[in-house]
Amino acid sequence: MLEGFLLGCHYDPILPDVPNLAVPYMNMRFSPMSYSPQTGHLYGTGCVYPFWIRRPDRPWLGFGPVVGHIPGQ
Amino acid sequence: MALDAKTGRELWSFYTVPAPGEPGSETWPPNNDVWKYGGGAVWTFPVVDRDLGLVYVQTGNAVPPWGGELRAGDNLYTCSVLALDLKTGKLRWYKQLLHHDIWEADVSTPLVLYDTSIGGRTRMVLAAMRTDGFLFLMDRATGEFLQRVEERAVKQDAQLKTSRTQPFPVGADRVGP
Repeated sequence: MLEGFLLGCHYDPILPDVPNLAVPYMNMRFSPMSYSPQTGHLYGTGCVYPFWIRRPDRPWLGFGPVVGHIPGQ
Repeated sequence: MALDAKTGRELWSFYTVPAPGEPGSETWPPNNDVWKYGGGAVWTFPVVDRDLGLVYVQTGNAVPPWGGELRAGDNLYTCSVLALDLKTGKLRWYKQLLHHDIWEADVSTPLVLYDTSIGGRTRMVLAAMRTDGFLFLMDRATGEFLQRVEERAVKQDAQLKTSRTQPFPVGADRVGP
């Protein structure tokens, strides 16, 4: 982890005064899943990647947190 | 919203965030109007079981997405699976898969309906994927979970009014650490 970043969990609270939180950002959304009665499996797509996540002081400011890839990762 | 396929006339509508006084409104703060902007967007297509007369929708994050400080409570019906009566739009059952979302954790993967045998009994299954890769299986007639789901204690933050617990399916496969 890059110096100065805090390594957190997916479900860590995202706080305005913690601007350097890095989390494993998990994404399973939008892409359809399918089910095969032949295998009994559900098939889905998703990804996980290290993410720099932060939010502004005011909750309505901007659409969301400033997010991005961690420098050097 | 349901429209007459021939005329476009509105047949019914359902709001995924309840207005004050409606069931579920008690999960929003009474001292502000954040519920009006409360989120619960339906990002992907609903699915229909014509035999049961139900249409299922999955809802997205609460709004403002990271502003938990403004909306104490579970914030129904965000991050949920809803079963609506196909003819009337009335809510038949719901399951909220994440309480008081502060992570923009939409339930937005299209739902899957299938029938299978569980414990020697044929079940009508609805599969819902939470954004973090936890899979929830429900009886699509009743909403009953088909695997054990625990409300587990999670990290707390007073400022963001975090939910004391979150639901997790026991023993389910997942994506991520």
